[in-house]
Amino acid sequence: MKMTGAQAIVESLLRENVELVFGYPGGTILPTYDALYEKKDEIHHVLVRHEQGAVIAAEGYSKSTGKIGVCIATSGPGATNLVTGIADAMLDSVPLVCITGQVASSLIGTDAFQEADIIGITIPITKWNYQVTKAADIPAVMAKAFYYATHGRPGPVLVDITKDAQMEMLDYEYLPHVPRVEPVHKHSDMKFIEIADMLNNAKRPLILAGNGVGISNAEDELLKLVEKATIPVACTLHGVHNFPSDHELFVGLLGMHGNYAPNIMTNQADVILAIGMRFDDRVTGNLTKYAKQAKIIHIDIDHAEFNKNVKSLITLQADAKFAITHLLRYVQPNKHLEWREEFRKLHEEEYRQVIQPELTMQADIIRMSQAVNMLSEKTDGRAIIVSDVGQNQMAAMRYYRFKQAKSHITSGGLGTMGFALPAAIGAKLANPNREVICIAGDGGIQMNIQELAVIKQEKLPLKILLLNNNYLGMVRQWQEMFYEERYSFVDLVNPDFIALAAAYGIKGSTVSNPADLEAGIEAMLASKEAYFLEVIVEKREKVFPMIPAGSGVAEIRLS
Amino acid sequence: MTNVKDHDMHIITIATRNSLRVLQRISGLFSRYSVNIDQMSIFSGQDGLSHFSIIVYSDDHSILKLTNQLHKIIEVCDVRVLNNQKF
Repeated sequence: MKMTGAQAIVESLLRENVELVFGYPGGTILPTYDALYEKKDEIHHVLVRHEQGAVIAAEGYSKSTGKIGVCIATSGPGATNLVTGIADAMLDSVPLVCITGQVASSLIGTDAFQEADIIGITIPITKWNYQVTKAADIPAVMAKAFYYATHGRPGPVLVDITKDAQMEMLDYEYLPHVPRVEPVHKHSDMKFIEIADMLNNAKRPLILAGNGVGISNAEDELLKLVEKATIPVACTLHGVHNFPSDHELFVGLLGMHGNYAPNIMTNQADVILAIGMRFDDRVTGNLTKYAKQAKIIHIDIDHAEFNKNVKSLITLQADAKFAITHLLRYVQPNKHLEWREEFRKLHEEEYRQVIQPELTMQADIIRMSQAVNMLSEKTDGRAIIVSDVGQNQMAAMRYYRFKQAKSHITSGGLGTMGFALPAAIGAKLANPNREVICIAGDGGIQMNIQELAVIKQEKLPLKILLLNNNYLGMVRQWQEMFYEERYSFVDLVNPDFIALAAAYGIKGSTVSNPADLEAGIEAMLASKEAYFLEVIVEKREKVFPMIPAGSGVAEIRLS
Repeated sequence: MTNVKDHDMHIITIATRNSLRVLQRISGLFSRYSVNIDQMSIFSGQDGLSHFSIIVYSDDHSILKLTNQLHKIIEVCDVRVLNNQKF
């Protein structure tokens, strides 16, 4: 089939079942946009307002569906504006295909208008990238891009296509990518028996569930494993929606602002089974004081994670679903009553010292945790929560009680402020029938506030909950605790957010009185169209528990 | 500056398909893991692959992290490490 390179790009998207792309046109990607125009009934293109919005919206789409997110940008500034989102997707294992235009091949290396070496720039933050200078290469390169985005540990791939390659003719033939050597992870049953034996003989076992459980859709298998062996489960930031938070074996969240019990008990467990998580420093705290007493079993799809931060006794390179399914055969029913009782006691301590006081309504001011807690009640834990970065993110993670998988979307590894709004747009487009709520702070929302225009243009009934303390709250917390209250550039003079939302055609309201919080959240949820709810919260709130930087997990502080 | 030669010598051999940027992908990982390249030679084999032989002085854990990432470069077919203690 004869066609132009640009038409070949679009044809490849269709062959890969892409229905939705996010992008922003410009000089060198014009031929592809012209080809997209022909197929606009088959591929829905969402016009963002900044390329960072495109790549993060593609992440939100991908994280809420498991499908590959696609974004398109032009060369030079268009491509470099993608960089933060690509790095974000790399750290959080989000499958993306990013397509960028490039100046004509004859102009490469001449400092041409809008020329940037995006391949060189993105080598460290992509799984694979490639510059296409001949139209004939497009079908194979696109197939390879889609293959590597999801194959093994997912991640972002970038394809940079020169303008002349987009305009050149080729004879299109679509062939799915077949790697020279297909890596297979074969494991004998002995390995699973060995792991199961360790779990069966453990007196104080603990499962750490991460992002990989969700990526491999192993939520049900994890539940079965946990229930069969009666082992307490703690989750990472990205793992929180992979296990029902109201389950009696869920013991809470790991890490710096996680729960008291699982952090302390990490250093009491005799066997730790880590599934689809990578012992990130925000989870482990000081490595020299991390789980030294435990036999650690690490299951992950990425062999490079083994023994990177934490030394494991047994490592198993496998898809989480495959591994858990096999383990299920060999684990034996158990009770671990005393061990579980210890978690309960510690949880009660956290409840008494942190959770209960935080959730007790005051007369004059609302706390972030109270707003999230009420949202959790009013949505029965079944909304998709897209949080930004900072205190708002920690409140969302701690106080939203997730009951459904693929419901917690946030920037974990990179900690990208400005993530929530575009990611929520992507999630809402992918999940029109679910309530999608963007939770952001006043700092982060302004990093991609221009994307409010997309909500209007796409007529998205997306809800935005702004937790406004007129501060960069998390930085302020650190300055208060560790920098002698020297509040260096964290005080924000903010716009009138409701007027700003109104300027973008989005209705909204502000709540500052605790007595009005419930009505405010109900109004937001009842709205059939987009709604911007600004909640004025306590300025000097601090997130606790907290493992101070450099401390071990057992040194977690409640105040 | 610490003397890198305080560390063990490692010879890292890499077989890779030869495509544009593959040297950049490989050398970028060395700099990311702060492993300085002391000597490097590359030749094209009859198998159609490019063979790198790289001498570095570094600690074992950095070498482990580095080689684990080298394996993940799509173009790379094989990575091996020889430690001078094993000669």
